[in-house]
Amino acid sequence: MLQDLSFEVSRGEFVLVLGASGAGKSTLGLCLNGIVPHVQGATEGELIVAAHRVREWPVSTLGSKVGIIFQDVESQLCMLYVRDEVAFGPENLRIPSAEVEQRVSDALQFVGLQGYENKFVFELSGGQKQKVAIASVLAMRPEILFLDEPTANLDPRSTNELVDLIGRLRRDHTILIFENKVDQLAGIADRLLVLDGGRLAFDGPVREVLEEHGDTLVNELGVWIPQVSEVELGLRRRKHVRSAVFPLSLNEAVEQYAPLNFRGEPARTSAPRPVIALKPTIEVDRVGFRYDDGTVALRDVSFNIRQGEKVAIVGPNGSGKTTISKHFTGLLKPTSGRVLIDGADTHKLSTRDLARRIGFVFQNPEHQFVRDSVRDEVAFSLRIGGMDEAEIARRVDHEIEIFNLKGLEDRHPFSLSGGERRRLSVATMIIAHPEVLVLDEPTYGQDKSNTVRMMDSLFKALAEDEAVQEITLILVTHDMKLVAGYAERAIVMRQGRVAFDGPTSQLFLDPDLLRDTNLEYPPLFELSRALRDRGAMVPASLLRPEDFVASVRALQAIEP
Amino acid sequence: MSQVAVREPQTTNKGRYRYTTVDIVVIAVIGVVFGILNSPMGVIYQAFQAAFGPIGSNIWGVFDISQVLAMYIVRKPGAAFINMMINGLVQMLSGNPAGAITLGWGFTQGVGTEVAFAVFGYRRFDWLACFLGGALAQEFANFWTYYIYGFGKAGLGQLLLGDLVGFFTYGVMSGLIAFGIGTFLRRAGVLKAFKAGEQPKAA
Amino acid sequence: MRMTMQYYRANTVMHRMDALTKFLWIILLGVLGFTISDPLMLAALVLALVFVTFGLGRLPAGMVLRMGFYFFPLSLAAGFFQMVIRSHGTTVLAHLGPLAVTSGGLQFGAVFGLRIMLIAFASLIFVWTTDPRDLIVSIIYLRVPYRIAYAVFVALRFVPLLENEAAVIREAQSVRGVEQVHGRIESLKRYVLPLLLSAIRKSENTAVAMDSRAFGAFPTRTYIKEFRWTASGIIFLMTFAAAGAILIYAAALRGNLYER
Ligand SMILES: Nc1ncnc2c1ncn2[C@@H]1O[C@H](COP(=O)(O)OP(=O)(O)OP(=O)(O)O)[C@@H](O)[C@H]1O
Ligand SMILES: Nc1ncnc2c1ncn2[C@@H]1O[C@H](COP(=O)(O)OP(=O)(O)OP(=O)(O)O)[C@@H](O)[C@H]1O
Ligand SMILES: [Mg+2]
Ligand SMILES: [Mg+2]
Repeated sequence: MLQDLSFEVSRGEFVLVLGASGAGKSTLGLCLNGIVPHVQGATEGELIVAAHRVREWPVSTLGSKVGIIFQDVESQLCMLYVRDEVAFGPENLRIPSAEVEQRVSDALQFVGLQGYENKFVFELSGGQKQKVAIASVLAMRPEILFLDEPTANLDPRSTNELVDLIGRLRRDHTILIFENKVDQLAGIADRLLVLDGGRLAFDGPVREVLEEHGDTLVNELGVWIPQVSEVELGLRRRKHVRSAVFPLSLNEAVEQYAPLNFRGEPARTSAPRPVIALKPTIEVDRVGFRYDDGTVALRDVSFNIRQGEKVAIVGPNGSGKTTISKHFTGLLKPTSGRVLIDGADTHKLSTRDLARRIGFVFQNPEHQFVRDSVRDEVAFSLRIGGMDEAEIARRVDHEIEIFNLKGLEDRHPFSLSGGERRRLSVATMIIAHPEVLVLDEPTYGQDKSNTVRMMDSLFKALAEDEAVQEITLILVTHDMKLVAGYAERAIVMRQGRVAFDGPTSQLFLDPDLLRDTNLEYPPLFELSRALRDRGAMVPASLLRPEDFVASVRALQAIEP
Repeated sequence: MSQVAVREPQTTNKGRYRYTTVDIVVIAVIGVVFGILNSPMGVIYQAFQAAFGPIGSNIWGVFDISQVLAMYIVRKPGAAFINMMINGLVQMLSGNPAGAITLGWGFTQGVGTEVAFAVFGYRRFDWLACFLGGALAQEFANFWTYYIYGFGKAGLGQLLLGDLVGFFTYGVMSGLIAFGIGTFLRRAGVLKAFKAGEQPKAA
Repeated sequence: MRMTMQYYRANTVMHRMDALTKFLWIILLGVLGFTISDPLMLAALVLALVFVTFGLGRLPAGMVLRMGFYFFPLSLAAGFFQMVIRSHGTTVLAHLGPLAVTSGGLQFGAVFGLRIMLIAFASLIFVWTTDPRDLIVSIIYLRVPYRIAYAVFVALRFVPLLENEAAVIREAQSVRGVEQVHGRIESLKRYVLPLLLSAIRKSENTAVAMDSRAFGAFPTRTYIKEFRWTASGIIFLMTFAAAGAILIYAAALRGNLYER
C-alpha cells in the first residue's frame, strides 16, 4: 500500500494530507500508532514517532503518543455509554479512576459535550459521535493526532464546529489530517503532504505546493484543492492575471480579486437543459411520514418532478432527505398523503415493480452488493432483465471504464476501498438505464477525481446515450458544491418540511434561508458576494471555478 | 535524528492460542448477528418445543450456527464457549422469553461444540468437524432442555428419538451451514485477520 | 420482537442493588420453583414478584404488560404439554379431542407453568433493573478476564448498529430488484452474508480502535465504578430465602414436595 515514503514532521506542525481514494492515507495512519506492523501487515525501513521507534514499542505505549480518529465513526466507538467510551483508554492504561474521571470531564468539556456522560453512544447524531471519538482519544493525552476524513458525513454546521475544534487542537498537538473538504483547512495548515498510489508525490508548505503543482493535483491526482486556488490557477493559465499572494482562503482571494474588472453577465459554460416532458414523473402530494418509533420525519410535503429534470434535495442532517427519497422507490409508504410514480400510487406498487424504473444508490454502498465479483455486480441488473450475454459484456466494460474500476473486475466488491465501492454502486444502477436515478449522498467520502469523474461520466452517459438522455436525476446531499455544479433545481428540506423549491441560482440569493437550514454557500458564491460588497461588478450566479474565470475580463487582449 | 527512547526487551506471550482483540470482538459480534436473525425464530422455537416436547425442540436447527462459525473463524479453544455465553447473556438482556434459562442453553451448547472440535484437537475445521460441532451442541443442550421443561416424564423412547432427530437437524442446519458461510467468508478474503484466513486452502 | 436492551433506567431500591445478589436471587427462585410442586405456593411467589416489580422497582405497568404478552404464552404452553403427558391415573375431568385432561395432569400442568413463569419473571426483573455496565463489572469481579467480559459491552454496542444495518440491507436488496427468494440457502446467502461481511469488517475497525487505546495492554485495568456488594441486596436475598424455607416446610407437610 505504501512505497518508500520518507518525511519528517516536527512538534506542533499542522500537516494536511491529501490523496485520491486508495492512495494509502488510512494505511499511513495505522503505521503511526503501530497497528502496522504489530497488529496488521508489515513494514520495512525506519519509523520514529514522538522519539519512539514504532517497531520496538507496543501499540499501547504508542497509543498514548499518537491518537487516531478513524474514517468509520460508527465502528470505532465500542462502549455503551459516552463516559465509558471516553474513559476506555485511560482505564486500559491503569490510570487511577479519580484521574480518569477528571480526564473524561476535561475531554468532554473540550469537545463541547459536557453533561453527555450518561447518554448512550448509539443515540447520538453523527456529529456528536465524531466529538465523542475525538474526546476518547484526547483522554489518552497524545502529543500527535491523525484525523482520517473526520467531516465525511457531517452537514455544514457540524463541519464548521469540527474545523473550529481542530483549530483549537493545534495549539498543543501535532496534527496530521486527511480531509476532502479542504476549503476551510488549507488556509490554516502549515504543510501539505500529497500521496499518490502509496508514494509521496509532493511535500512542502501548502501555498508553495498548490502554486507549483495545483494543476497536477487537480487533473492527474484527482484531489480537491480550495476553489479559490482553482480560480487562481485558471486566471493565471487563461487570463494572465497573477495575484501577488497565491490565495488559499476566502479572505486572501477577496483582497487579490477586488481590483479586477468583470464582465457584466455570466458567461455560463453549459446552457441549462430545456425540460421536455409535461406529465410529471414523480408527484408528491401532501405527504406526511412517521417512523415506527414515533419520530415524525415528514410533514405535509408536496412537489412534482418531471422527466429529465436534475433536482437536488438538500438540508441539514435529519431534515428528511433520505426519508422522502425512499418514498420514490416504494421502500417507504406515506402515512398521510400520496406519492404517484408515472401516475400510479405507490401504495399499490411494490419495490419490485418500481425497482426497474427507479434506481436508488444508497448512502452506504456495500449494502447493495449481491454478487461476488465487480464484473458480475455491474452486470446483475441486466442479467435479471434477460439481456443477452454479448450485449451485457459490452455495456459492462463500458461502464467499468467510465467509473474508473479498471483492473478491479475480479475483486470481491467488499475488498474495495471506500471510494471504489461508492463508484461501483453508482455504476450498477446506471447500467440498467432507469427512468429516475436517486443518489443518496453520492460524494460521501469521495475525493475530487472520483466525484467529478462519477458525475461527469453520469452526465456524459446522459448526453451520449439516447435511452439515458431522459433520465431524471435526484441528488440527496449537503454538499453545496455538488448542488451548484450539477443541479438546476433545489428542494430544501428543514425538519420534515419543504423550505424552498426553485432554481438553484435563486436559492443562493436567499442568505437567511441558507443560514436557517445551516446550509453553507459554495465557497465561490461567498467570494463573488464579498467582491460585490467591494463594488466589483461580479455576476451573482457564479458557482463553478470555470464560470468565475470566464467572467474575468483579461488585462491584456488575449482571450482563450 | 532526535534522540530515540530505548526500550528494554519485553516478551509478549505470543502463544499459539492467545486471543487477539479482533478475535474477541468477532466472537461477540457473530453472536449478535445470529441473535438478530434468531430472535424472531426464538419465539417460534419456544412454541415448537412446548407443543411437541422433545422432538419439537429438535426440529428447528438454526440455533448453533453462531458458535460453530465463531470457532471456524477464530480456531482457538474456547471460542465457541465464549460466543455462546455472550449470546445467552445478550439474548437474556434483550428480553428473550426464557429469561435466565437461555444462559443454560448457552453453556451447554457452547460446551457441546467445544467437545466436538476438541475431539479433532482443534486442528480440523472441515465439514465433519463443523457438522459434529452443531450436532453435539444440540445433544448437550437437550440435557438442559429436558431437565428444565421436565420432558423426563415423556418416556425414554421419545427422548432418544428427540436426540437422534436433533443430532442430524442441528448437524446439518447449524454445522454445515456454518461451514458453508465460513468457507464463503474465507474465499471473499474477509478473514485475513484471523487464523481461518492464514492457511491458503488447507481446511 | 426487536433485539433492544430491556434495561429501564431509574434510581430505585432494585436498581441500586448489586447485580450478583439479584442473579443469586433468580437462582434461588429457580430452586424454589423446582422443589415446591404446590400451585398455590408458587402462585404466592409469583405475586411476591409482582410486588417487587411495582413496589420496589417502580417499573412502568405498560412496559411490564407488554413484555408479559411475550412471556405468558410460553409458560402456558409448557404447562399444557405437561398436563397432557402427566395424566397418570387421576380422575378424568374433560376431553380435548384425543387428549384426556385429568385432575393430576391439570395440577402438575399448573405447577409447571408457574415454575417457568417464576424464572422468566425473575429474570425480567433482573434485566429491567440491572445496568449492563454494573453487570459486566460484576462478571469481572467473578475473575472472568476483563478482555472477555468487555466483549459483552461490544456485543451490546453492536446490537443497534447491526439492527439498522439489517434493515438497510433488506431495503437495498429489494431496490436492486432481487426477488423475495424463497429458497432457504439462497435467501440466507442474499441476506445473512452481507450482514456478516459488514459485521466482520466493522469488528476489525473496532478492534483496531480498541488496540489503539491500549486494550489488553496490561493484565488488569482500573474502573470508574467497581463492583461492591450492597446491604439492601443481602437483606432482599435473605428475606426471600427465609420465605422460601417456610414454603418448602409447608409444602413438605402437605406432601407435594419435589415431585418431578
Ligand atoms: N485491509 C485491507 N486488505 C487489503 N487491501 C486493503 C486493505 N485496506 C486497504 N487496502 C487497499 O490498499 C489501498 C490503500 O487503502 P487505504 O484505505 O489506505 O486508501 P485511502 O487513501 O484511505 O482510500 P479512501 O480515501 O477510499 O479511504 C487500496 O487500494 C485498498 O484497496
Ligand atoms: N429507521 C429510522 N427509525 C427511526 N427514525 C428514523 C429512521 N431513519 C431516520 N429517522 C429519523 O427521521 C428523521 C429524518 O431522517 P433522514 O435520514 O431522512 O434525514 P436526512 O436528511 O437523510 O439526514 P442525513 O443528512 O443524516 O442523511 C431524523 O430525525 C432521523 O433520526
Ligand atoms: Mg481511507
Ligand atoms: Mg440521509
